[in-house]
Amino acid sequence: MLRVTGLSKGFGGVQAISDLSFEVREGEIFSVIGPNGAGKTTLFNMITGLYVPDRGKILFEESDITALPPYEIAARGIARTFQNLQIFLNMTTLENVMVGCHLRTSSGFIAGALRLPKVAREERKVREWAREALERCGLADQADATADSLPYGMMKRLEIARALASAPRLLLLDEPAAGLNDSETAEMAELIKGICESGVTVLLVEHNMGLVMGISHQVLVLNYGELLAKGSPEDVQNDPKVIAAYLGNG
Amino acid sequence: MDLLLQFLLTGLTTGSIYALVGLGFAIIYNASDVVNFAQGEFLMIGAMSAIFLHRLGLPLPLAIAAAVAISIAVGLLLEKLAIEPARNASVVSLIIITIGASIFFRGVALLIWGKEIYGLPHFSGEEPIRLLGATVLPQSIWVMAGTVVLVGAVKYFFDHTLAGKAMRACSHNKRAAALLGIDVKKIMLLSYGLSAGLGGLAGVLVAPITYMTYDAGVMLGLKGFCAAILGGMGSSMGAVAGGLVLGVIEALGTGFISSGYKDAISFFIILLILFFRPSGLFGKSGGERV
Amino acid sequence: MRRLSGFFGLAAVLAALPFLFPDNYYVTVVGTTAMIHVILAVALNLFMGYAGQISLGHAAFFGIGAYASAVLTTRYGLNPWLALGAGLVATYLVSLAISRPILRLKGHYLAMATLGFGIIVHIFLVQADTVTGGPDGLSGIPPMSLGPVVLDTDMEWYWTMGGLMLATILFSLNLSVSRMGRALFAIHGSEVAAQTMGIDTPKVKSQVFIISALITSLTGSLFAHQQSFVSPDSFGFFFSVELVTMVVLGGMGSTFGAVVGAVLLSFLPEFLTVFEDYEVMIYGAILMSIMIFLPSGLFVAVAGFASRRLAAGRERRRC
Repeated sequence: MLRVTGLSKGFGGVQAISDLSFEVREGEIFSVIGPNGAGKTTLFNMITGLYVPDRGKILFEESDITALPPYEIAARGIARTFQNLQIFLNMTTLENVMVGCHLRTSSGFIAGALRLPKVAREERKVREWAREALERCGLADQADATADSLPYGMMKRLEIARALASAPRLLLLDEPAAGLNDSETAEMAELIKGICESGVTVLLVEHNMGLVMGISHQVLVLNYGELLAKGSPEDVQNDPKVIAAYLGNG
Repeated sequence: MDLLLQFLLTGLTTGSIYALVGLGFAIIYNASDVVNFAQGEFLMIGAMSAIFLHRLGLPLPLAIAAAVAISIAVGLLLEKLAIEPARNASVVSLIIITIGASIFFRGVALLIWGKEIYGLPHFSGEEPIRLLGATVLPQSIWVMAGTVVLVGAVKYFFDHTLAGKAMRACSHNKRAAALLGIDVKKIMLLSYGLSAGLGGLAGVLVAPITYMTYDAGVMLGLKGFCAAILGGMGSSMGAVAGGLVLGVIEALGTGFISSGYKDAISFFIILLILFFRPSGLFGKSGGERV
Repeated sequence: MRRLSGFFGLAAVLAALPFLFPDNYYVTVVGTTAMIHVILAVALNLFMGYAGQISLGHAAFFGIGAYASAVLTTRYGLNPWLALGAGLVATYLVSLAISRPILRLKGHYLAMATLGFGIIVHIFLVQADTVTGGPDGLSGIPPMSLGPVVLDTDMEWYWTMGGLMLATILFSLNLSVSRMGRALFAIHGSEVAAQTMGIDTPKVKSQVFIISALITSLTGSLFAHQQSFVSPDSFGFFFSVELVTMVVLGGMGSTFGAVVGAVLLSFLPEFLTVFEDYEVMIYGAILMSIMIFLPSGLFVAVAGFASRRLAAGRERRRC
């Protein structure tokens, strides 16, 4: 579904990603792990078009999306969340998720400002979709709260709800469990599994090994921008290179 | 050729003033991330104060010193009373606050001095000096030399004094500076004082040539902003270079195109710079600071 | 219809005022000026408050509209409505041409670029005196007619501007609960996240800039006919600043905030004339103080306080 070949990106003298290739298959949870600074978020930023790679190609469903602007990549069916939350703090929870429906609707400025009948119909549908997405993420009772009043854990789920509202085929989650306690992490694991079972392919960046190993179909280990290992959770956990990287080279 | 030299000299004179305003802009922007739309008012306050203190019978040097002191006091008050209480305000709010301050200063000036046009005596006579076929007023030389001295002093301050180095540290990373034991609040205050003092001196230097009114600071302030952008926001010496370049371009534009469109030419160049090279002529590439 | 209760309330007040205070200077003259300001502020708020951008050059679009009407009707005898249309076309072309490069900029850079644009247009109005009449401006702009009615009394302009004002407010209110309105708020909140939600941010920003400019230009054309005289003074840097102030004073992002800000700033000079020489100073001081002490704006702060009190009251009753 997503094929990355020979991807490289440097910042100044630092090589954040070098010559990285991998493939995400449809319907799986594919996790990228690695120590801090391994280049995971850089990888996400390139897939979603926020950074332009120096070299390499990104293919999504066989078409080249390398260096397309972010909104065109989103239109192909890729949604994401952010490690440093990018909630629209000036809006309510529901409105945040309604923004997620942007791609599934089409009314423009004039239609909206004149409130044409078509727009009213569209609005009803958008509300419905948004409430559905909130429901899935356990935020239904927070719909009318202003986003900046939500606790951190809910904001993380709000980002997922907003991404789901765009009905993506591939969902990129950037450290969804960071900062969550154990029970919240368990809920998050269930949520991600459910998303995958509903037919959305998931690409996950995460530090919590329990979560990653528990739900992933494939795991890729990055170290200083280079692929260290790749395979099933078991294979990766038993790979001496991975153990060395995580425990230090001693 | 003579004509070109003449334009160049005129340009460097106005450019020096733009350079000083731009430098003041950059100092405040670096220390506090505020674009101070009241920067031009420091010039007006300095010049007007000097003119009136001189009229009251104070000898010129004393009047100038007192006028600069007044500008500095105004700068410190601005920081203490308007900028510091609004530390967490958005960019737009801060822009409005400094615009409000500039209107306030103009209002006070209008109240004290009215709408009349005032001039300061030239520091050393009005006999033009001939120079390679061009003529130059002694006051222009005062302006240019004064600028060189002031810029040199500011550079020395930043490079070789503790307070200057602390100010530079603050502009890079306020939190880190605070952790190093630098009193960030004091440094902010100092930057406004320094910037206002520079503005006041620039006003005093230029007052004999351009004459002064209560609203003369507006355009000068905006030109200083242009200089800072031309040189690359955040770079003090860039702002100085930007000011000189802007002054020369304006003088050439006035000479060869039309004096009426002089300001339009400056702003047109600024638009081009912002569109194609937002980091400024002398800034490092990589776009704006985020 | 609860969503529009404020709108209908305002419409009712607007309709009642001329009957409650017939021939009152503050209603017909200052009131009409205030309504012009409301239209401009609401239009600017779409760009600033909704989309989170800044423009210190909107007076230029007001000027382009006004001068298109003034020049084409006085010098070429064009029908006022055609002249108004020409002003809109000119504004469309200018705003389209500058929108993409200008809107790549943010914060202070955007402020400076729009300011520069505004000043260039203003200088052109002053300098191109063979066309624009230079600093003295153009007088003798013919009245325009709305169907069979020739607009030439204060009351007729009151109703015309009132109608346009209500239309603009409704436009803005409807937009805020629509797909594109949310896209604008999203850009305000986080441009990066907006892009990854599929919002073509350069295009959307450019569209809202153009819409805002067109409303401003249209109002400028009407203003020229209402005044029957234009001069560059009305379209300079300070008017741009005043417009921004109206938006920020009431509270960025709120349509009624822009309304309140515009009304306040239109009546303020009327009251400040009492202070004569102190006027400019007090104006500046008010501007600064509101921004320092009520950074979210007057209307938004008061409305927020009121709704919190109401909520607290309800809470108590429930107990």
